[in-house]
Amino acid sequence: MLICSWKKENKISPTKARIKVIDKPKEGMSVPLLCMQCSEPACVTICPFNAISKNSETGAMIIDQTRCVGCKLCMIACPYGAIRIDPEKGSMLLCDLCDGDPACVKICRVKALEWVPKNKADAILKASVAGKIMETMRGAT
Amino acid sequence: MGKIGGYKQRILRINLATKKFSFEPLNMEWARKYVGGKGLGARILYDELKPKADPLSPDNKIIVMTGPFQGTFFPGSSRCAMVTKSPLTGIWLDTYAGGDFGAELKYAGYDIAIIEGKADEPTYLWIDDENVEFRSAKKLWGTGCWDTEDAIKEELGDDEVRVACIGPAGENLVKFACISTKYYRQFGRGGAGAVLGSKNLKAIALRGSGSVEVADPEKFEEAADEALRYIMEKNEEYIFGIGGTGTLIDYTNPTGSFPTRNFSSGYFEEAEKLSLRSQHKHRLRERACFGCPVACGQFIKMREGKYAGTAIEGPEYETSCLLGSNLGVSDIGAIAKANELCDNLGLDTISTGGTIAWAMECYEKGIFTSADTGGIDLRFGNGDAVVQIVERIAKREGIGNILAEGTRIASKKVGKGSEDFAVNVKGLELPAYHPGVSYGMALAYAVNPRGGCHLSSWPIGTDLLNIYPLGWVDTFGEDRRYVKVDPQKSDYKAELVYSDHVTFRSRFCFIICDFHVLPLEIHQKAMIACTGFDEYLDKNEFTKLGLRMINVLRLFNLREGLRKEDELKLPKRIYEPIPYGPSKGFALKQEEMDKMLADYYKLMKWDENGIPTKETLTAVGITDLEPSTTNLAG
Repeated sequence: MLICSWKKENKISPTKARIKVIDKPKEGMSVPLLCMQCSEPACVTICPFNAISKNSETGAMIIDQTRCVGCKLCMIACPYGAIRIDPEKGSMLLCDLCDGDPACVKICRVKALEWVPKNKADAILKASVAGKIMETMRGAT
Repeated sequence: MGKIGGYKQRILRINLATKKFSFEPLNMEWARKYVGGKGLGARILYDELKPKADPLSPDNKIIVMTGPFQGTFFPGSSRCAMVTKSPLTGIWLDTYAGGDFGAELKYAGYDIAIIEGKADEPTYLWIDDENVEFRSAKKLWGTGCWDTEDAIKEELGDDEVRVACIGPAGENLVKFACISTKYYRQFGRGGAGAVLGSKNLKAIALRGSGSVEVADPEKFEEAADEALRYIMEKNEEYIFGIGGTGTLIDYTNPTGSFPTRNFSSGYFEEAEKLSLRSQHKHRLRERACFGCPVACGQFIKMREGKYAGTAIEGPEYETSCLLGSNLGVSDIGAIAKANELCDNLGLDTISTGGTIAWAMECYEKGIFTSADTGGIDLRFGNGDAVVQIVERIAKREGIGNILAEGTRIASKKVGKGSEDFAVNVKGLELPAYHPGVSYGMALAYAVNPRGGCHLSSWPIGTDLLNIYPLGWVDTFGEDRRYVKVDPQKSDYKAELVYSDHVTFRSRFCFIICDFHVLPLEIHQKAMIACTGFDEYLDKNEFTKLGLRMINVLRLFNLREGLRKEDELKLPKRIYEPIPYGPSKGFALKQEEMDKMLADYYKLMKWDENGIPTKETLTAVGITDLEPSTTNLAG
């Protein structure tokens, strides 16, 4: 969150970060919430002012601040809770993937965030599911 | 003068009696000289506090201190300090916690919050940017720290409010009560929790929507990158960090310096049961403080045994010793449970463990009977007894009432020779390094500003592990680089402590977490890029900062009545030869202690009574303070 606001706003201020980490210390868990660059983005569909568009190169959602009036419909529509309000300016904050080189990914020591090509995006999930099936198969022999 | 960064340049002053708050500009001349944290906190508290104030009276003040780094993404910035006069020792106290409290204070717009006076009824502070409210804590009084934090978040309708609070221990003025934050982080040592309790202040809730800026963004980012890469590449050298602080057991136990059964020995036969390997069996996840890539926190949930289900971040190295080996306890479940109780009730695990060890020895020697302990079988090795007695201490119930005073006062009250094994220095119970084995630690415990503390210098690294303080060569020359240090001799010990004071430990001013043992150059670059204080480009200025810090703390302590006699001897237990193990026969000798102390005073350029001379103070840049002579006459 800190490096995000730094890159985007030249200030260190978690309230201005485009990525947000929800902390649950008593469960020992933290969950980052961020834009998932949906292919059929709900935010684009709902925006009455066509202020959101997808960058064809990076796939990132870009808010045109000259069109955005801060109605917050996008924030309500987003299933990932990825759109936030800048409490100072009142405008909407949305991850733009830092032009294709996301700073958050680079700074994360434990690789909780990854920036991967589309055809590899489900690799971890695939491996995990296959692993569970193989475990069952091993048990049967 | 170029751009200044890192600071909000603003102090929040809060008076609990009048329920008034005000904003004041930060004295930037002092900020340049002392930076923040320990150094600046000492200078400000020296000014603010009435000499010889009773630590539990409304005259005492507690100051939430940050430094220019707090709120930034520089690794290790996730620290916060509280400074006050300690009810346990009667002298200086600085206590630190991880988590996110310090960062949030900066985002709210303040470098420092000074809290003074006493509220007329249980209160908690709600600091929301420029708005400060004094809210009733009547419903919270008596509640544990975890439930308090949850209740406040619910009442304020915001899960992301940062909370620092006390539990029943602080409310009951237990002398070593702590302040908890984010459930598992504590401003642990010295009884800061009791100070809050004496002020009827249950908690401080904090939220900030602002930002932190730095003087030279490009250089700052470079330094942060360098620090991050260093941490990622050298992580096996981080013996305090990645994997957990418990790794230290693998170094201290085999060298016989792991305090066992009230410091009666330095080797615990069952140390493996407390080790990282044992801890990891119950670990769910590594946990980090705000913005820190090291993630030293080990979140465990006991998988089996009597205390199955106990979930904490921990136990840390100190806790594994003081609530484990030092009590002869090898049941990691019992230690985890005792740790959980300490966190929730708001007790320092080190002093709690040290006090229980003393009580156990009293019990085994017949000084305490089963009637005294209310039926608890307080023998070494009984983990269940530890769990039971912790609660009594927090509530000052039965024998808990005398234990709540700490080993120094308790042993004085009880007598019967128990003072010989009340293991503390200046009232602060000793941490998990045996000073009879490592003479360096004996000196460190004697002279570290807040009493028996392992933070202001850490010579055991060199005594036993061939780890030299950062800046060792810079301070004492190339021929010292690999000098062989004998843990059982006074040679080099003063130099090790001095070297640590003036280099690495100045981090306590920035504030950078002392687990971040990075080359000085990286922190130097980062500090200058953050603050814009380019006088620190000169390494000598950096050294002077460390000396200024130690000297202003010395003046504070002298004014509060500290004298050479208070640091000349360690408890009698430490002079008793260790009966078995890798350190068999090791013991502190008074003539060596005398030598080390004299060497240290000489290096610090203090007189033979440990009082800084005017020349020394001027040489380190303290021109506005003098040793308080009225007190020294008597």
